[in-house]
Amino acid sequence: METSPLGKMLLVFCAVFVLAAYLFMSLSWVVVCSGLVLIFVYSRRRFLSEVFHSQVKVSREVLDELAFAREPVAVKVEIANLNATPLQARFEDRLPHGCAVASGSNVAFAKVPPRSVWSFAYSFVAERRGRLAMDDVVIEQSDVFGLHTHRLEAPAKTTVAVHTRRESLSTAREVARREHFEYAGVTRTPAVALREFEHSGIREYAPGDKARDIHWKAFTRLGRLMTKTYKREGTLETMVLVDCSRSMRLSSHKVAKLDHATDLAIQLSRVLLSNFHKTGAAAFDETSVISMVESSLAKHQFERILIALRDIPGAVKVDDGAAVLEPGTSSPLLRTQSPTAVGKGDRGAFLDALKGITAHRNAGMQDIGLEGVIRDVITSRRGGEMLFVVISDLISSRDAVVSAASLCRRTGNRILVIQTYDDWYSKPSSCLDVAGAERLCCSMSGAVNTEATLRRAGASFIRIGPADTTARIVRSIRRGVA
Amino acid sequence: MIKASVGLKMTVAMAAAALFLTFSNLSFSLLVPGAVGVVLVLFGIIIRYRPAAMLGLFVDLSVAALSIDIVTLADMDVWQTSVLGLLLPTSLLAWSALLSEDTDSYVIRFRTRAFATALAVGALFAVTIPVSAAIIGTAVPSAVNTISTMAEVSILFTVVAVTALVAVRSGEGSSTRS
Repeated sequence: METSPLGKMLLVFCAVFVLAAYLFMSLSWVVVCSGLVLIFVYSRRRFLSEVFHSQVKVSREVLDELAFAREPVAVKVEIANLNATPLQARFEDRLPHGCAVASGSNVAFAKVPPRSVWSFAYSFVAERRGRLAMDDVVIEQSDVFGLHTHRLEAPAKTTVAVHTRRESLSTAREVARREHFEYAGVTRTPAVALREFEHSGIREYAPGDKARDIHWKAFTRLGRLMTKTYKREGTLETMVLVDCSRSMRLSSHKVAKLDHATDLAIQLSRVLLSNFHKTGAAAFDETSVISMVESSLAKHQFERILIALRDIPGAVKVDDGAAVLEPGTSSPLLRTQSPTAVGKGDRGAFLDALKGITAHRNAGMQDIGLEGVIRDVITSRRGGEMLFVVISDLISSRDAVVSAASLCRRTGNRILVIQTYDDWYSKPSSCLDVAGAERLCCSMSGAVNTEATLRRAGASFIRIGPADTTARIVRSIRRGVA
Repeated sequence: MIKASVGLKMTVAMAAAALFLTFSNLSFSLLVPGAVGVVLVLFGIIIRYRPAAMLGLFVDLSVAALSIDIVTLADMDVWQTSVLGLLLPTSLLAWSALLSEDTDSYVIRFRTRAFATALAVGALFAVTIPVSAAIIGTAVPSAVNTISTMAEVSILFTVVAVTALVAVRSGEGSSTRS
């Protein structure tokens, strides 16, 4: 409990009155002072009793089912005053870091009548994608005399999964309409009716062939009836795997690798689903699978993938040049020796802890993270060919991706690695010095070595930067660039 | 259950002002600011604006302290004047002025711990000097007539400060429940 500015002013006046008593040598000033102190004590005791008996229940509700980055998310806060006395307070719903109020206000002054519920609503805009943890609602109670205040943090934990920007979804729809991710070859998976057949050649006409299959142009040229033959166009079951390891989460410039990878995964999934490939998605980090949706062509599969990818953690903004990771090394090491140099607060400790986990991981924990996902999927498929699209920067999860590529080759599956190249996502330096050039050269050399390793392991490979769109990537894959 | 309505608060403020007037020896030069202070308090209560009421309160308290000159509280007549003409009106006027922004939600309850504490503290303030004089008179009978105004001011101020601190600090730990 604190004394309000008015209460402090009252006490200052009391002190002045006491001083006046000494100056004027009169007891009346002290008596007046004692009258004010009497009211001060009374108000404090009364307010203490009110605070002690107050029973406030706070609940928060996120009104939007899907929250998108840079779009308003409506929130409603309900305050139930269970006490028999009114609750006069200032209510503040604290916003998570990186959020701003869009409309309304997250601060409200109200007098909640006894045994009643009062609510206020506002909307906020999240700058970035990720899971936002909304903390307690702060209630600053003040007494009726205005002399005291009491700050209370009412528990109302809410987690809002903010999706990537809505434009990403409309882009996915557009790309899916334009681009095709075709797979040449016959699989055991029955093709979908509309795209069942692909023209493969012509042969001599045989009685019984359908008239619509006769190649009339060849008849004019050859003088005999030829029949067009078709082969079933295969569909390839695909899993899009997004690396959420610590190196992917670090962001030092405009576009975070993880955000780009998430957008890419969404749009690729949409393209694959629109081309009738069974598609699933998973997000993994160094130690665990964050979320996973098995491949399917079910009606709401894209929505399921969206929900799964919503669980991908948000990117961590680091100071420019504070955290530099060595690409191509077997264990992700920070170039700066001190983990505290990475950023402020707990970020250094967080990265340090992950570094420790990664160090343990190399000692034999092979069935976690990416390998665990791939092994599980392959086991559940029981022999069918699959395509794994891994989106990773190959820094923290390099070894895991290489092992996954080897695993895919051993089991007769395909793997496509899309590398979000770290240097292309970093802020370009205004003047390139010799040390910077050497660093860029070393990292590119490391990346090329990694690419060679992956290609030797039978993986297809494509390196992308923040300017690469899904349409461009899909076209590159179709042209066989990968 | 009595609600502190605007009418009640205005009545209390005017009663306090009347008590001031009854026990004080107001000159015209003090009557004018005193009246302005009362008007400010009433105005603040009517329009529910606490700063105006507080300004009026401090003006009135200064006027009251200037108009009632108390040199000793050991005398019963002066003691009665100080309690009825200063302590009680000050508390009542401060109560009504501080409640000026409240919108009829304040319920006056007498059978509460806060009210009992306030009563006890008020009684302590009132009897401090007479009791001190009695103790000093018992211990050193010759010194009872030589207690100066400054000594009484010091004793009362010490008691006020210590009582306020004790009353405020006790029960502080129990305010953490929500």
